[in-house]
Amino acid sequence: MPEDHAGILDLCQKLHKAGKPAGFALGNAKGDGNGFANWALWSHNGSLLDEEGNVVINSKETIAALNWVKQLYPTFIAGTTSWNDVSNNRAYSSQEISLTANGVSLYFSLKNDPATKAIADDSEHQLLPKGVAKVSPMAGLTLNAMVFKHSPYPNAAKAFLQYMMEKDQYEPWLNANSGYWSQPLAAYAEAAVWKGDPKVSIFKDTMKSTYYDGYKGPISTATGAVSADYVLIQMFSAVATGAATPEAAAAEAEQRCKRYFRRQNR
Amino acid sequence: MSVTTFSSPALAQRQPNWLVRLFDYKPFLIAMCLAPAIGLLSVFLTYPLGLGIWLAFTDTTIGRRGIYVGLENFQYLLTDSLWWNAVFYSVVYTAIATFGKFALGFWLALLLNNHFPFKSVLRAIILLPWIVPTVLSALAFWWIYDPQFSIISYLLVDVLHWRDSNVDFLGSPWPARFSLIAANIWRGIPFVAISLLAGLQTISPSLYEAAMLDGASAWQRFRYITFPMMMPILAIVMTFSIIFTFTDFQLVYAITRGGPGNSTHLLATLAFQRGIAGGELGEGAAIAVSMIPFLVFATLFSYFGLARRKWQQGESND
Repeated sequence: MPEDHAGILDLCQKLHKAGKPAGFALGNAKGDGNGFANWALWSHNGSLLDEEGNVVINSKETIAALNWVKQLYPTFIAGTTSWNDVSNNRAYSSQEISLTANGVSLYFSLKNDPATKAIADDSEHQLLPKGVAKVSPMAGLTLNAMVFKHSPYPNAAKAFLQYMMEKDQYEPWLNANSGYWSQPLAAYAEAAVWKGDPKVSIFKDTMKSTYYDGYKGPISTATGAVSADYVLIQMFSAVATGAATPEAAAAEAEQRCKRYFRRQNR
Repeated sequence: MSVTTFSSPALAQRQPNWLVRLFDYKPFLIAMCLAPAIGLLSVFLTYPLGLGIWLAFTDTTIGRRGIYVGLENFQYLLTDSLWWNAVFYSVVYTAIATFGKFALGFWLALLLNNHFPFKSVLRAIILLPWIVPTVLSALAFWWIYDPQFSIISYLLVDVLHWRDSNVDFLGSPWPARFSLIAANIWRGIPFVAISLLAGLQTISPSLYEAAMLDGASAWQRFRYITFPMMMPILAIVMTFSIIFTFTDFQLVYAITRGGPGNSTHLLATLAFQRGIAGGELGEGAAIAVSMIPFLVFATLFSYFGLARRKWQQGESND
């Protein structure tokens, strides 16, 4: 899989010609749709926010990303604009598509089912291509834990979280999720899950990624609202299908994002 | 002597204790009997409705109390192309789906009004699409419309070889809109058909006999007897149907979630998307409140347009 945009476009065109096209979710899919939209944006060095938290989505980097996805979209299998989070898993499992972006869960569902084990054996993993970014622009998955401010026993809750992060508890837990998320504490990089299947071990350091939802501003509830309201996905799908020009789509996304950040970060 | 021994228990009976007297007191009884209904209505109807309308005038988000912002939410919606898009589709969806449901439902009711074997069984089966939980039938339609695994595409492409590519049901705006309308019509036909069937059975056969003696054709009997006699029930069923369709949520949310893009959002799904997924409770409530004028208009239209015919007030009343 090439790391540059021209190479990816060329690859997808060839896959399309070969009758085994690529497919990335452009529908209202919270996980995979946002994953693809963020990657397309970040790999062009675009971002939703600047370091101070100002909305900078309407930028020339975004326009470049939109134009690139517009070229890429015709190489996809038909119907990706209506895909939700399971659609690419199903299309890949039935061998309708040969390239997609997904968590490692897809690989395990294929591998654990005797009927599809051959597909798993024939599959290869790679971190999302860099484009013009310095590192692979993908947000790492990890498990979040939090304690309510109004909890009557805050110290007990913290002690419990600390207990769960200890080796005896955390390492079996990490191993059991088979590489779907990775550890925030560096020492767990030595856990057994990262030493077995080489198709899984490449995800060992995904938490070291400098990218996250709402990159590169401060994390806030509005960041979550923007991804839950599919703002970036819809910006890309509108341009890909020709429903809007890149400039109009970026301006609309900017308007929607600014409202979320103005109202929710007050 | 005997009088006094008899009178004391009788006296006690005629002067009951205070509890019995309280329950015989009419104003108290009225209040007691109304209290449960009023309590239920205010807790489950008035309070949520009032709260929803109040939220529409605040900037409440999930997890944070809002402050009163006046008409800010509504002013924003007027500049929001996605809201206008939802208004447009809600009207189109309601208009086409209601027309389809009534055309097919009326037809089905006329067919079911005939005598044929297994009549009651068939009438019960007809109700099935309406009885099945909507989310369940929505999931079935979601599979039927799937871009890769649609049964219709499979039949057309792999079995009949009529097409080379899968049918694009949900991938572009207009096909997606009409796919949802078709699903809604399918779901709504039984309600219309059974309600209109009930209306058909109240029409006296003697009217048809008289018309046949006068040599009226089948079309004339429908046009001048069946249709006018059905007007009151048509008006009521149509009012209900318009309200159900305009406020529809489950079909759209389960099948497309408003996609592709935002082209199939109804006002109800947009309100949920903004209010719950996006966390903007105030704005979501404002979108929901913005449905009220449309519903009031639709109700008045059905009521005045269809129900107030001269036959209801007598033939002489022009």
